[in-house]
Amino acid sequence: MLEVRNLKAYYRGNQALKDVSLEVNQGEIVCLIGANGAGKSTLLNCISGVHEDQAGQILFEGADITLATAQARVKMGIVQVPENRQLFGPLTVEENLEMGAYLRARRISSAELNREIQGIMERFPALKSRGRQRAHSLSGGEQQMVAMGRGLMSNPRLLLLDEPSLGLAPILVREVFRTVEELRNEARTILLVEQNALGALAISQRAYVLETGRVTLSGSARDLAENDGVRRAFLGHDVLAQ
Amino acid sequence: MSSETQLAQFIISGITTGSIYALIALGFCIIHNATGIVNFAQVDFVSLGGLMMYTLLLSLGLPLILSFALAVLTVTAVGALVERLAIRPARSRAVIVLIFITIGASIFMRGGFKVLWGKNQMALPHFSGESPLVILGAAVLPQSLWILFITLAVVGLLHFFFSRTRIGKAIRATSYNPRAAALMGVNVNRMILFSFALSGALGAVAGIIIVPITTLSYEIGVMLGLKGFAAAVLGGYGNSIGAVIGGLLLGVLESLGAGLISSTYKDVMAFAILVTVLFVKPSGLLGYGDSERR
Repeated sequence: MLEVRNLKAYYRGNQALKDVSLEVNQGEIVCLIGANGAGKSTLLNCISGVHEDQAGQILFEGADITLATAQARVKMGIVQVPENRQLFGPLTVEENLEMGAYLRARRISSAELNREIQGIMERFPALKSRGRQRAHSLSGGEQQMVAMGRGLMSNPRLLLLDEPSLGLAPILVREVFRTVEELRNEARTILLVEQNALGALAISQRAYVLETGRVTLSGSARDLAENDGVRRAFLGHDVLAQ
Repeated sequence: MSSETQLAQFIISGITTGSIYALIALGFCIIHNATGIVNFAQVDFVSLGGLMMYTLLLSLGLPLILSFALAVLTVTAVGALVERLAIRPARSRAVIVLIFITIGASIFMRGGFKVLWGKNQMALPHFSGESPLVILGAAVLPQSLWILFITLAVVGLLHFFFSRTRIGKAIRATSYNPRAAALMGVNVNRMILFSFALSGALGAVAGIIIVPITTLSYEIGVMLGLKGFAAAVLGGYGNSIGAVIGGLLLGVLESLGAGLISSTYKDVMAFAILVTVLFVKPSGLLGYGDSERR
């Protein structure tokens, strides 16, 4: 479905990605693990078309989208839920969700739009009574739900999730991962960037390890979860705790 | 004239000019929210509104309403052009660079107006006669009522636009988080273009409705515009409700100052208030507590 070939990207004058190649197949959860500054978010931003300074090739369903605008990619169904939620803080929860459907809003009726917003509220019941509240007044977990809901409102086929569990309490982390699995079961394809490697590997089919802008390991999620290097580098704490 | 009617007179005339400041301040706010900059070309949008009205209404003899609409449309287009030709091609996105560009655009436009319309003072007729009505004992020009009515309508329309329409919400979303807006498929550059066009329209309306009770010249918008800027700062730069309150307050204070102290110091009032706000509470009446961009 998605193929990234020899992607190079520069961020503030440094090379953030060095010949990264990866593939995401229809119906998979693929996770991308790596430390802070490994280039994970830069990679997602390249795929979303909001990182300008890049070279290489990105294909989506066989079509070269390297030069496509961010809007065109959202239209094709590539949607990112960015790191740290990035909500429109002073807008209400409903307005945030509505912004997710921005490109489709011309084609669907407002009744349809409201139904879809209700659908998101069903999926995340904590948001039900919060529709008219400003997004920045919500808790971190609720904000993550709004961010994911906003992404879903654009009806994505490939969802790019950037650190959805960041800064959340363990119980919410489990809920986020459960939601991600649910989405896969609804025939959405997911590229998941996570620092919580254990949780991410547990729900993924395949994984890539990114270190200082290079893919250093890739394979099935199960193999990587058992790889000594990965365990030492990313799972340390979690493994000891078990 | 009793002192109460005199006071009513000052307040009504203050609200009239205050409405103009409010419209101009709103123009400043919309562009600030979209880009983080102060658009000094806003003052020339005001002049151009009046000048276009003069040409359409008096030189071409078009009907009032048609002239009004066409003048607003022209300045809307000019606002869009300023963004397209001066702001977007800039190789730096630094706020200070873009502000200098707007100053350049402003000087360029003013020069153009001087060539096209000359340096003479011009006058526009009032929309509906000049015989004053008496309200609360104060003599009120019908044009003042037009100004109040049109300002109210414009503020209502703006509110509707920003809270109910898809594009309006997208402009707000972009101002709060441009990157997230881009990730939702919003064309951020287009939202900035719309913001400039909208500010052009607001400036034009302000210019068109005030010129009948002042005079018209190629630089009529400069003083009005700078006071609109002061109003925006007073209200809390970037805050639309603040812009309206700041505009009305500034208009009334200026009018009271001129009436009760001395009209010589009319312009001093506005800028004394501006400087005081900047010293005492730089975030303005309804500001966000810090003067940085949100």
